[in-house]
Amino acid sequence: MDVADADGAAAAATHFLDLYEYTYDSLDPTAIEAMSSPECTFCRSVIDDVARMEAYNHVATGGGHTVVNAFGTEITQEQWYSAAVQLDQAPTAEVDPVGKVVSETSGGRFQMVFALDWAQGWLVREVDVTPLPAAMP
Amino acid sequence: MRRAGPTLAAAVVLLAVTAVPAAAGEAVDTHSTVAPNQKAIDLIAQRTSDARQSEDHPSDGPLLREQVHGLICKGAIGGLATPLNGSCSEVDAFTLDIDCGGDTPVRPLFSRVRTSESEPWSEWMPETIGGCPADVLPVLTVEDFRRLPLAPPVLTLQPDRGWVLVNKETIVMTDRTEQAFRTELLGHGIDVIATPGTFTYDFGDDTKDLVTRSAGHSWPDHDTFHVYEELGTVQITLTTTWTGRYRIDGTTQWRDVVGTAETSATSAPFIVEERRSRLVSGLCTNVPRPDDCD
Repeated sequence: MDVADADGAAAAATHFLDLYEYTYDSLDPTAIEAMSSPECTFCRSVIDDVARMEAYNHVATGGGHTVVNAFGTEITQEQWYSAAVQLDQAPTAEVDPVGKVVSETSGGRFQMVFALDWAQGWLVREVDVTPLPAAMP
Repeated sequence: MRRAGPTLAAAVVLLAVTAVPAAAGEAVDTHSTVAPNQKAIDLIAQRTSDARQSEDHPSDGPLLREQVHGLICKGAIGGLATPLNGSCSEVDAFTLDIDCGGDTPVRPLFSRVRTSESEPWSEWMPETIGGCPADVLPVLTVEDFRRLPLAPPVLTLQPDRGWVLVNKETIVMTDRTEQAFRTELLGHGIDVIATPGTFTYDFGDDTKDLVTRSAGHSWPDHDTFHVYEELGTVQITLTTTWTGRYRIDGTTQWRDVVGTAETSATSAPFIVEERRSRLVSGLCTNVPRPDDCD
């Protein structure tokens, strides 16, 4: 992941997804913020969401993901990269301080496309997510 | 000095079962606006285009190589006789007066080099002779087309609650959305558009497949559906056949890919049941859900 090339971009995208899970688990956005470009609207949405949960004393349960495919490309050497990741995400729920479920998601298979910047380290510039039907067994 | 390097072939990193231990997380799609606001994809397309521009016109570092399309002088032996080198006037040059069936003929490509900014340029040397685009430019083959990351269209069932009734219509639908890609062949940037053609539904019950060009409609305007006549657990598979067309940078014509690609999507398993067994003790949308909803 510490090399600016196509494989490094794929590894950076999957690492970002591990940070995503950690951020909801801990409600601490510091690590994911350090890997996010300021213009990344996806990243900002995650950071704002955990700040909201922290303020209301909610916790996240469930979750967890499996990476099915990760694929990186170089656009401009040592500058711009892209990555596509397909993953299966388990159902999640948000729970209030008395244990009531305030929202839940059913999980599923998603395709995520990352625009990445290299600046002596990886930054996620933007992420798109598309739900996918489950693949054939 | 930062030079835009050539786009490298994509590296595929297959990670088999790297399961992250159950940590918490909101579903990823709640943080992204998908089509038409494809922010990451649009940004990637823009960056790819910029990268190609600066490959052709590097702004960093000294310019040591130039390329241009030109003409060859009539009666020339070897390509150095070109108006570019002052060997003849354009009027006396050999013009590519060939019929390319609607395409504009591609003129010969010349290049010249110098060892440093303070050294003089070499003469213009021919690199390619030109000709009809169909002969000179690469063809996007069906193998190239099948290598593109085509996403299968979403398969939607109606009803979609884990069970359907035997002898009643189970509706299937998808969406007919084109997908656009950028790729490269032999140094030429290429735009590709994939269009869904036919949709083939396999209902998983040994009946004939439904082959249709319709993306389907929801009830009561449904035109693509199946009636299950046997009880049991089934899955529906949608196979989509795609056609492609592509356009090479520097040309205006869209060319067809000869052949098709396929994508496949399978629904989660669901149960075909009789109406009698569907008595439940409350609404399935209640929280907590009655046990007999599943």
